[in-house]
Amino acid sequence: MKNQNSHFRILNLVFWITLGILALFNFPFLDKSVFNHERFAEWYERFDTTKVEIDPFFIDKDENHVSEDKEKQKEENKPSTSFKWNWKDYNGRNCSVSFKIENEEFEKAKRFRESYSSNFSEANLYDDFVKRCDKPISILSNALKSEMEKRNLSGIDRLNFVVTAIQTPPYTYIEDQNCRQGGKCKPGGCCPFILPFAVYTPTEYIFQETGDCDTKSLICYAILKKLNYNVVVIVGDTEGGKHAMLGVAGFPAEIPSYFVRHNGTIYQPWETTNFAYEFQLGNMRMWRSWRNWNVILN
Amino acid sequence: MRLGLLIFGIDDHILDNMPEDVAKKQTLIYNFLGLMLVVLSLIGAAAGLIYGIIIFGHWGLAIGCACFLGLVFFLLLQLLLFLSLQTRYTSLKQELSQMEEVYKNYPSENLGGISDEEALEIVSKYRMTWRGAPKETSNPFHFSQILISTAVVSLTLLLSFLSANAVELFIFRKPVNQELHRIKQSEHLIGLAKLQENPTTTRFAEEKMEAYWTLKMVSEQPNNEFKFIDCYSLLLVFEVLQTGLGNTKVLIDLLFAVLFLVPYIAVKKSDEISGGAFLKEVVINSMSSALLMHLLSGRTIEKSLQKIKNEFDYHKALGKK
Repeated sequence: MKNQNSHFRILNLVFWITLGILALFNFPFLDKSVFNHERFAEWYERFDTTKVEIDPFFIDKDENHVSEDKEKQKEENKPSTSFKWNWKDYNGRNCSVSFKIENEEFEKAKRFRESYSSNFSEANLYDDFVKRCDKPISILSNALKSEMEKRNLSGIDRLNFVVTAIQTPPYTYIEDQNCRQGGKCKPGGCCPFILPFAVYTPTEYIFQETGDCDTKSLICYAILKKLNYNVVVIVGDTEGGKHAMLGVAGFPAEIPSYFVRHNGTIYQPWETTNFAYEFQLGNMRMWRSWRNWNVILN
Repeated sequence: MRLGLLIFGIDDHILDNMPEDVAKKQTLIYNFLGLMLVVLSLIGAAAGLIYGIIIFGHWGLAIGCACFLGLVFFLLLQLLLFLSLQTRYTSLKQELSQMEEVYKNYPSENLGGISDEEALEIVSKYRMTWRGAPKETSNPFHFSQILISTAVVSLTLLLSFLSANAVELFIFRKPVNQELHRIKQSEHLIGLAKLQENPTTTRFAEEKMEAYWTLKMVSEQPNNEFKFIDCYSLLLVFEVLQTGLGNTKVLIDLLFAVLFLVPYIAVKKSDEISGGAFLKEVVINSMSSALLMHLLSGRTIEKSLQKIKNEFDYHKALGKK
């Protein structure tokens, strides 16, 4: 009888505990770890690759652009995209660079990013992104290098040449959720649901030219590292929130302000988000607040 | 908290017949049972709001949908609970269902001269005799119980899965929207959908149609903005949710099933409810009221018959002078 009497108490507890467990699922950290993007990626790939196999075939048929030896041609020449970037440096000189990258590099980089686990830190992610995009970064670095050699650039002018190339495309908002401010995913607009950590890989930046602070700092870092400069990615707080910049050692500041010291080396900050005369090496006075700045990738 | 009174009719005049500690305990139990019912109805209302906003894309209609579904949940769950509220005092139950046998002890011919006080005394004695009725450990088996239990459990599970899917959509709306966005950006789908608009071959017609439909479902229309989930199709959203959650979805669905079944099991299995003092008092109260009504109506009938016998003018009725 005593046992029967406690039935309601036990069931009552079960009810409220179950309700509590269900409420726990509302916590944002659980929502991310419970919903398996990789499992969805498998489902999506299956659904997607079916179309990949048939797509080129009947697009060609439909548009009467049948080339009989296309398969052969495909094997010989992988589809690639030619780029020609034009911009101006801080002295107003016209600059340009041309290069060509295989389209599959873009797909590879995109897939790598999308399947990257959000459980790792941003530092690991940046490093892995740079390693994964080695081929496109090498192509771009070599193109920039040969252009700089043609122009006989040296010292800080070489750095300016690279960084202004990345600064020039307008700042694009990269969001890990929907874009509140609207706009399309193109330079100057907004790209929604870029996961993890709302950052593009360097290859994706090269193809789309859409980047915010960390995307642009990361590609600057990757190119300059390839050209053997002592550079880092630094992150910290400004009045606008968390921000990322490029850090450069071994060069005096063009416009001195603050700097970051890491393992005894002084790194001058470089704002990469937009092109402007005052966005030169060492200047961070476009921000009123400068707190908690540290090296995240070196 | 007066939820027990509002939902189950826990009334002071019934509680007055019990010892104070038993009355307090019974009030607490029915209050908790009422609270469970209210919580489940609120979950139902939330589910209505979520489904409403996805289907209609209008907050006004979604709120209407929430009110409607919340009310449906409340009434259905209340009905299911009342269906299961059966006292374990079997002898009392049998007596209540066969009151004609009790009435035979009080034929209406003898009731003409009965006073209100005498009627109340009879009822009071009758009530006292049933106070000490024995309690069975469980209700005797009947085939109808299986049918009723199956219907109750099926309906409860249906309500629980309806709520579970809506709440899962609410919790995981962010990752679901991300995956829908990926579908929207698929170059393959876009390529196929373009061919659907400009058909020159019947090959892969089904795939083209599917791609066209899928893109249409995930593309925002100018006059019908996405409000909560970036998709117009509930089925596509469920597919994405199911794939992303995998076995976790089964676990959450089961938790919801437990949540909805607990009040029903509590009512069925808890000795404090089915074998509790409140249900017993309610049955005794019903029996006593029925007997009192029989005595009073019998008295009125008898008096009326006497009056007719003494005062009715049969000559006038027959038309004789």
